[in-house]
Amino acid sequence: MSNNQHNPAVDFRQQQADFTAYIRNPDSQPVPEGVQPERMALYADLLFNNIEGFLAGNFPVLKKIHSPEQWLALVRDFFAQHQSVTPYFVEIAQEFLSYLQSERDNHNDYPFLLELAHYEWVELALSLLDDEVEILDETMITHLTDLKLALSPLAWPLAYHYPVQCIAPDYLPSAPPAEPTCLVVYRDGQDNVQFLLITPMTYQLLEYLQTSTAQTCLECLTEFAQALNVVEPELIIQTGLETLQYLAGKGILIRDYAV
Amino acid sequence: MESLQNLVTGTGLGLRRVFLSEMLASTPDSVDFYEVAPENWMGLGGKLGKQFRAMTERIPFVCHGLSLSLGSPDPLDEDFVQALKRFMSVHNIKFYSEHLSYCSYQGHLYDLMPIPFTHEAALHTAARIRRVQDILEQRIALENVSYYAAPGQEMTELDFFNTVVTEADCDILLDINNIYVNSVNHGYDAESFLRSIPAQRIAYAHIAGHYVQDENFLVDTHGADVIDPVWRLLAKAYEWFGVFPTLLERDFNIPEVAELLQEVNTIKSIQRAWAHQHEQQSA
Repeated sequence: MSNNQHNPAVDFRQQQADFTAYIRNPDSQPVPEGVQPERMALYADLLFNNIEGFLAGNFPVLKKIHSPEQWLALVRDFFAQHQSVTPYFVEIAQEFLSYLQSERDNHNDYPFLLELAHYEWVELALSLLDDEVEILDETMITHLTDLKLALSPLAWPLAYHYPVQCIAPDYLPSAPPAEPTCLVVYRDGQDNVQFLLITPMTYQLLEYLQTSTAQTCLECLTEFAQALNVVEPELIIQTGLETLQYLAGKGILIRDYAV
Repeated sequence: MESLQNLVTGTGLGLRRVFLSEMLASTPDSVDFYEVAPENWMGLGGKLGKQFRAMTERIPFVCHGLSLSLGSPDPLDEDFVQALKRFMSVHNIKFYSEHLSYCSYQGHLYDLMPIPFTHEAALHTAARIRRVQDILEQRIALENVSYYAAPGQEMTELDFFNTVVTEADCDILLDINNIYVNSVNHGYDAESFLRSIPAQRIAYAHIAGHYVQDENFLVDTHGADVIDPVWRLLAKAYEWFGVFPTLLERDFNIPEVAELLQEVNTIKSIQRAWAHQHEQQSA
């Protein structure tokens, strides 16, 4: 029993402050007064292992490319420093990303740490999105030129400095290659998350399509080709159309009914 | 507000993702209701979201919260409670239960910690429960938790629990395994604890297994089969208070579904035995 049993002025909030300070950082915080050290250690372990389990599940590659000590130190730093606001367990990964983005400060980190974590988070986030889309049928895809297209809410075009999909214990680049890595991550008709490597040009086209006010696919491609200011805009339009057809077939592009 | 009693009946099982597909395919008769942590399922689309919808359309559900942090000094997350209310309405979920615990202090720590057993903390927690009940327009069921330390203790666990429940005017989720685990860890008599709770408020009960670290110290892992003393304590509760809905929790070392259903059936047979006994006594 606690030493405070006969003290009517126990401040429960202060007790909670001491208790959680120890749990976040057992190596540098004192064991709260009146609590057995081994019981406090049990709590600290239970809570830390819980968080480590979530992060290991969401970021398997990130874990694999670190030594066990480095990984645990990274998880510990997140748990000690970051004030997570989400009550949802699937969003702990997002809290970790925001920690890496805004609070992480360790010059020994891999230069691609944030990009890799983002790439691993995308798969989880897309698998859980509460959206449904209608994939265009073959006839419509054949006659795509007259349709107005939109990017599916279940497809995210992404550009990284590093080839994040290749990172593994035996591939840990120390500087980014000359070309960026462009991908579309999307959920297919069977609700499985797929990754598609695209060219920087296709990435640019998808960016253009999202802001374009053109009323048809052909109009959009024509404007895009003009904006590029190339010698043979017809070639861009033709290749662009084939690309859009391919992406529409995968459900990455859908019909935009908005006028 | 009205009591939550009889909103679910019989025997329940905590639904976990690993056996969701199997339950969808077979829908065992012995499970009268399921329980989920809303924090794991709210806002979920895709495959899991569809499977969950298919389950809630068929079988009664209750929500068992983990993140509301009823005893925390952090502001109550009313946005979460509002979202929870919509989620419960969409899936026709019968009611919501939470732990007499806290899991955040200047941010979420994502697991349950013991609220200091003080009168002030009891009143603070009860006020937050009342607010949650006002938003949900329904009572909630409050669970007695397992705890391994009692920082700043001014009163017994029993007095703390009963004070919160009375002040909040809420119902009870009686966790039988937690009473047993705490009685061993903190050296009190499990039956006299059980006897002293306001039984008219029991909405349903939990039963689960735990990990034996040594003979004087148990950890509430939900990772093993239910042990005989815990089954006996459940039977005692039925004997004294009458039969109430009871749900099996299993979170780690999850066995084959058939094995889980055996434990669900054990609950059912104890329920039948005591229902029969009470009938005979009143006849």
